Amino acid sequence: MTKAEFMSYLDNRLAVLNANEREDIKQEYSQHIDIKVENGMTETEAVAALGDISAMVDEILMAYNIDPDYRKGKGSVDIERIKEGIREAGEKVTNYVSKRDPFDIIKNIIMGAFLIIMIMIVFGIGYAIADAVADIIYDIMPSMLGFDHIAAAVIKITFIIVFILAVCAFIIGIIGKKETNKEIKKEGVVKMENTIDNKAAYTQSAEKTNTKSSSDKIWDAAVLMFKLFIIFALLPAVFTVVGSLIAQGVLMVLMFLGYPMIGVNLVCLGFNICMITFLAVVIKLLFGKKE
Amino acid sequence: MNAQFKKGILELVVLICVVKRDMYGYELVSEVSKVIDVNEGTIYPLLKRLTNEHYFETYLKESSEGPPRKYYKITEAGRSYTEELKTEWEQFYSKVEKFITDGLE
Repeated sequence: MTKAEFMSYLDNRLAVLNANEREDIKQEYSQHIDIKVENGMTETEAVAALGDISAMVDEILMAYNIDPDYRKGKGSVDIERIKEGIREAGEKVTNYVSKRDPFDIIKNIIMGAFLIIMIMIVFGIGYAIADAVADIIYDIMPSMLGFDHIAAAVIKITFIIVFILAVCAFIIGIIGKKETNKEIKKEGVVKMENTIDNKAAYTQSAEKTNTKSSSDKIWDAAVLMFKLFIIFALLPAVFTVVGSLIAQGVLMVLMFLGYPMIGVNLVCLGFNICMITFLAVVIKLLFGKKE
Repeated sequence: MNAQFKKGILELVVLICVVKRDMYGYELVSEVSKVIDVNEGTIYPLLKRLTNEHYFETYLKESSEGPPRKYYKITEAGRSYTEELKTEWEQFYSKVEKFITDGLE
């Protein structure tokens, strides 16, 4: 390689750098070669004395924290890189699939379907409420220039957008939480690997919890959605209990005022006790901590 | 000479050269070659890296023999990094040396 060829090779490989930086580097090599030529070498010998030029330029790029594989030469499609990339992708997929039980994959699919159904039900209920509110607004607003239609439509659209954003934030939140758990476990594994004992035991248990948390992710999300649905469904029951407690109070007062209301009072009392117990059980089931 | 030995110690040798006095690229390559026989190609990228990490500063100085030369100069950060490396090397060397002589008297 002549000096000129070497310089244009540098231009090519270092194209991604600042012009100043590139010129600076070229200048230094140019000087180096010149001095060698002065001391008796030929240009070709001087360039050859530098050794493996490709590896050398890789090192230079790394000094700038640039991946040396980035744009190996302007405009040339690096077939090797593409083949490498495809092979890596293939490996990652097979690794992913083979590391999981087939059981786990089926579980994931079922959980995913369950989650989607839950989301649709919650959405349905929410939309029904938004619809009802929109209708009320529609009835109240004077029918001027179609504002009532617009107001109703705006309410429904706002609800849909807010719901979608909430679901996304919710899912990201769930996945995010599990991710940090996994990362902490991974760090633990790396530190543990430095000690020769416990390595097998620790990495095994870490792997188990890792695979567990991936299908757990979806399960937790689905369960949360289900709880939301139950809460929605039981709202009428809550209002009923409140009403009946108030009624109970009134009946007690009337009874002490002398009205013959003992029977009605007892019935009301019985009803209240049943409802409150029922709601307490539901709340405990929904919000109780898992062992 | 064992390539791994050379690769490991190259950075320290380059740093010490520049600590002793400011040098330009070609001069450094000669000085380092007196201590260890390395490929010239490996030195320039190393100089680049050490400069980007602010252990070296560079300045241009006129030369009678042609275009101005880029000189490398050690920074304060470079000095303390060199001290660290030097200490690590000394500890490493003495432990290894002791191990070798202990076993093979």
